[in-house]
Amino acid sequence: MSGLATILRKDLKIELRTKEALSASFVFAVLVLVIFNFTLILTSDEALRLGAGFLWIAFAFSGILSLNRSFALEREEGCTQGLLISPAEPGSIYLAKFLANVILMLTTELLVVPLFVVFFNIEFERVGLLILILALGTIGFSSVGTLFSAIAVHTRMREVLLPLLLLPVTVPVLIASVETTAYALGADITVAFWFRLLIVYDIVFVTASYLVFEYVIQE
Amino acid sequence: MSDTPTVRTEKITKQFGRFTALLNISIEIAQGEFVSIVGQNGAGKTTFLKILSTIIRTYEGDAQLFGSALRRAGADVRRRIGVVLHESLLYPDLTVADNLTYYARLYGVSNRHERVAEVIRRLDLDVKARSLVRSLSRGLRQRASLARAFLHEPDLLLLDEPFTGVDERAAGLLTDSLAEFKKRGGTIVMVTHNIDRAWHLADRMIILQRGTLAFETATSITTTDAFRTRYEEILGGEA
Repeated sequence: MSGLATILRKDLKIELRTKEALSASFVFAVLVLVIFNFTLILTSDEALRLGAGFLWIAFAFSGILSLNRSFALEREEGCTQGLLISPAEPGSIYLAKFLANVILMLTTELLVVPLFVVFFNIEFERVGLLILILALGTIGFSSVGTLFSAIAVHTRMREVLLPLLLLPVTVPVLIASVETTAYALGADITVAFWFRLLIVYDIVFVTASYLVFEYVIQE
Repeated sequence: MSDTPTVRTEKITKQFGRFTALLNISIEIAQGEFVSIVGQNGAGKTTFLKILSTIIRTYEGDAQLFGSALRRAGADVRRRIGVVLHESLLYPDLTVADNLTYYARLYGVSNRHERVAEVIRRLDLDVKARSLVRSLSRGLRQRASLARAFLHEPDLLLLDEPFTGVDERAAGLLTDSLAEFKKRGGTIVMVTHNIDRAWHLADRMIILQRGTLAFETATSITTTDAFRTRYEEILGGEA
């Protein structure tokens, strides 16, 4: 895992200094929720089911903003080449980028959820479960997102290409995240299948992305 | 000195689509040798350097660094290479010192704080060490990039136009650093358009033309003028 901690630390340091990804994705996610809140008047039951969907729409699109930034910062001054010539193994580069994306997305989500609760007037008790589901959903979304971000960054239409590649592949994890989030918020539904799907998706896509990243980042 | 050549390529060919960037390039570079590669734009100089630096990993032919196959070059081989390209490979939103510390960690430099301070001092970057790379001029970025390449004390330096944008004083610092590097047994491959500077520094000159090795000579057996005449003949032949 040579270089993993070093690259992760560097990415977080740049983000702490610039706050570009975090501020853009937070503002975007809040705006999405504000728009839904003002355009729809929901009963408390509807808010539980639909609110989870609104939340993940906000997370998915705001997440794409930070994923786009992930490899864009390597593009400037040819830093991707700096990674390629370094002793860091491609798998370590992938994991560092993936973890940085998970941390940034989760930070945004943890800042946005309290606002969501206020906007939609929701009371819920399964806080720990919600955090676990946010983590599992974010891991699945970021695993593929990090890989596709590395592909899209070398294209001219990268801002458009990333969501076009990413959203179809992440449909299963987004549906599973919405269903399990609704349950965590208090909806009376069965989610065992969706919970298992989240875990399996995470394992499969983190492993697959780790293995193919070497071919994506080179030339 | 090792008998194994530091660089050995055999019939390296690289194509980008239908464009042949390199065609059957076979070169051996001994440990401690300084080789300059000159040629027109598009001659394949940078592509050759990118293959040696492991940035480009798909090509035909064989290449070895330090006796190991380049295609399978692992961390141990990459750790022995220092590279300067057109771009600085430095993060614009980090300071010069932060960038160098990052690369020192990445290359596993053991005494990294001392080493970072040393290369900053050697490249005369003390005043700019705490400045963001984004705020540096082209010349200062180039110096910081050179500091990055020297940082982990490589055995092979691959330099693509290292003197571009640097002022005379910085050029002097770089020349001294390269001389010192060579003195302790380091091998240097430098790509440049500046024949005079290359001639002054190198043991051997190579002319690439349209991806082929058109001419090579040791600097000890001919003169700059004779080489320049040959260079112009080759380019004239192309025109």
